[in-house]
Amino acid sequence: MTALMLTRPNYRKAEQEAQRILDEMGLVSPPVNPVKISKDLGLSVVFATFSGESRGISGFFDCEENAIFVNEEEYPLRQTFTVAHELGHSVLHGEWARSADYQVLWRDPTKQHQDFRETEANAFAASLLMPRDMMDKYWNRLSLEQMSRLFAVSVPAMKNRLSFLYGI
Amino acid sequence: MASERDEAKSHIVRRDESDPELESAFGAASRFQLEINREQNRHEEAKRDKELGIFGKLLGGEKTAPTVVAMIVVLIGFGVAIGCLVMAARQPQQAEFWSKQGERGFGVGSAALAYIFGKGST
Repeated sequence: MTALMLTRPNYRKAEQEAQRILDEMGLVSPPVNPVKISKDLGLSVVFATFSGESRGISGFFDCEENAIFVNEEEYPLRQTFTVAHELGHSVLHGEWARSADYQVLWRDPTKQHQDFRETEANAFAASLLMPRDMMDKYWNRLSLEQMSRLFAVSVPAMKNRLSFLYGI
Repeated sequence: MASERDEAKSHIVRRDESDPELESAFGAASRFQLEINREQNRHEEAKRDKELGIFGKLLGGEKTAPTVVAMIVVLIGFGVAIGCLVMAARQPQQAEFWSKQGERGFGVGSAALAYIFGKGST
């Protein structure tokens, strides 16, 4: 039972942590800038250019430098989610993120290791960048593209969030 | 064996503190948010104007109209009282009549004034 609980994503915890950060920083309207939040929390954000097969990396958290590395070549509205995702690892899975077991985030989802922590980090990122109370104000009067522009996230990320929150 | 992270770090060829494209995306998002807020305010203003009608425009909205009306009553009441005092001075033979009317005007004006101050203190 305990083992099962340990390998299941805790969505509530991810959402609560994201909301706690938003409340602490007094953020009430979009867009939420995860780069600024990371810096305010003492982490640095590095926009890196990779070579070789690492060009397919979206980003990763580095405990040595206490920094989030994000692929500079990635589309800007995807970078926001990457930074928020890695911030989620730092906040939710500090110990694991510092260990050698930690896995980098790949642009190609099929390359990504299926781990409950990845799902939690995604839930954290979605709750941080597209919080429910901010979404409530706009979702029924703006188009998908406008919502994506307003919240500075990619269209697929916004589509998933709209589907999760409002079933559309 | 090197971890995925170490391997990724070894493949970094350039590091930057910021990304101009990302900053520009946030700038555009903030401007869009301001635009939406402005549009929302314009919409609410137009809706409020429509709801107010002619009398509403003259007397103000739901919250201010009672105070504005009370203020008008204060001015009329005290105006009548002063007018009656002037008339009483001009027509001493009808002083009693004018003083009675003046008292009424003063009473109405005082009641309206009491309403304004009473409302402000609650």
